[in-house]
Amino acid sequence: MKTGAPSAMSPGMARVRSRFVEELRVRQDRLISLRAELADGPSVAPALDEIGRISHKIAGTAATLGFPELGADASVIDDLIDRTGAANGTESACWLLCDLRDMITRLDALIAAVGRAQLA
Amino acid sequence: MKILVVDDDPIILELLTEVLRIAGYNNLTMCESAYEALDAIASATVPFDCFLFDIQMPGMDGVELTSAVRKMPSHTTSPILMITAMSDRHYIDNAFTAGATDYITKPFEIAEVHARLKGVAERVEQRRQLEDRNPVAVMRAAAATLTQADLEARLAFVDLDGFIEYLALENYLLLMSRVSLIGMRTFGIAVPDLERVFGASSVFEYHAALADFAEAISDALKPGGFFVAHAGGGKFVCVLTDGATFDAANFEVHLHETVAAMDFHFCDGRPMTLTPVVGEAVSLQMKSARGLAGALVLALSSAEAAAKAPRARKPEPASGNAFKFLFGF
Repeated sequence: MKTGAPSAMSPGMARVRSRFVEELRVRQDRLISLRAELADGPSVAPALDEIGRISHKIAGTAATLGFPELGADASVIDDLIDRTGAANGTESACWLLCDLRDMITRLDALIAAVGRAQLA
Repeated sequence: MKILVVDDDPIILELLTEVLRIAGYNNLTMCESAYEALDAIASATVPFDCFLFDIQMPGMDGVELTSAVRKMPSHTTSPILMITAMSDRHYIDNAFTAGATDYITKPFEIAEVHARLKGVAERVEQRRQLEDRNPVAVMRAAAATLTQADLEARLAFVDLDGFIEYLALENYLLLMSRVSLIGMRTFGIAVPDLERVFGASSVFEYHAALADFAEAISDALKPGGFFVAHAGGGKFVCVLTDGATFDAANFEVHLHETVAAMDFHFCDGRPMTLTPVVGEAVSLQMKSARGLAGALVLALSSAEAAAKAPRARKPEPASGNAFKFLFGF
């Protein structure tokens, strides 16, 4: 994974980056739980809604803090969920427009990217 | 510069705190929700100079927050920058419609945020210097007789549908150049002889008449998608988000009818005759960033030229609704 060089960051920015990586651990755990709900749960809309919100936050910050690929992975999921209307609970629209298996594959990629970012 | 930043992600708030501090902005207030922000604005003893809002937030979102702030008399023209990951055109349109001044997409480049804020800071400083030089000017201005400077000033009619500040319109088009300018057109509207019409009027009377005229423009352009900015004097520049079939001559007739129906009068009861002219529409498609600013100027120049030589009026259509009449479908 390509990352920005932390050495080029100001001490303040490096602190924010560390906080972001710490938060990624929590977000990764949550995404793993939500992935299970998505694969096995009776209703996918609430899970998609939360996955969308987490992805949205990661997408908004990652590249600025030196994780452009993580940001891109998160952005794909954020856009997909936003477009299918899952965030509004319109589950039928989501089922029609979004291939759930594709979503799970992308989510796996995001979870892996989050894991790599923590090691960077 | 006193800045209020609103985002539901604490990491973004920390990041923006650092980004802003690096650029020398230390008077910062951070809020994690729109409701918290409204409380901070209401309880501020010194008003905020600038706002940075995220769009997607639980409860009240950043667009709704922008609308709420714009309704506050002290913040009708305060710079509001959206900092958001929402890059689709409808989010951008909604933000500018609500009163946003500028729009920065996440993930942002730190240098880009600094550059945009530098422009905002210069504008805030200019306004502050003006108020320091003449602190009673704002209070006296309404009753004062109109001056050339009053006539040339760009006014903000942000409470009218589709109206945004001129700077915001330029910023909107710059953003659109990255998304889509297909079908977008701009044109100017000018009211000839404005100096003569308002020669003996007060600032209040001029502003009130111009606000009514702006309302007529807004009404005449509905229900299409549009943005309009006052460009000073009797000049307005309009951007149609889907104006491929727009006909300037037909719109001019429709605007005349709308203005006539509003039956304008001076404060002393005399009838006020405003006969606006509409310049030729300029396509924005394939325009570069520099070309977009030039297109607005070109649209205004066309309206000014038309004001000197008004076109022959076309006959009114026998039937059909206004939208079909204006846009030809």
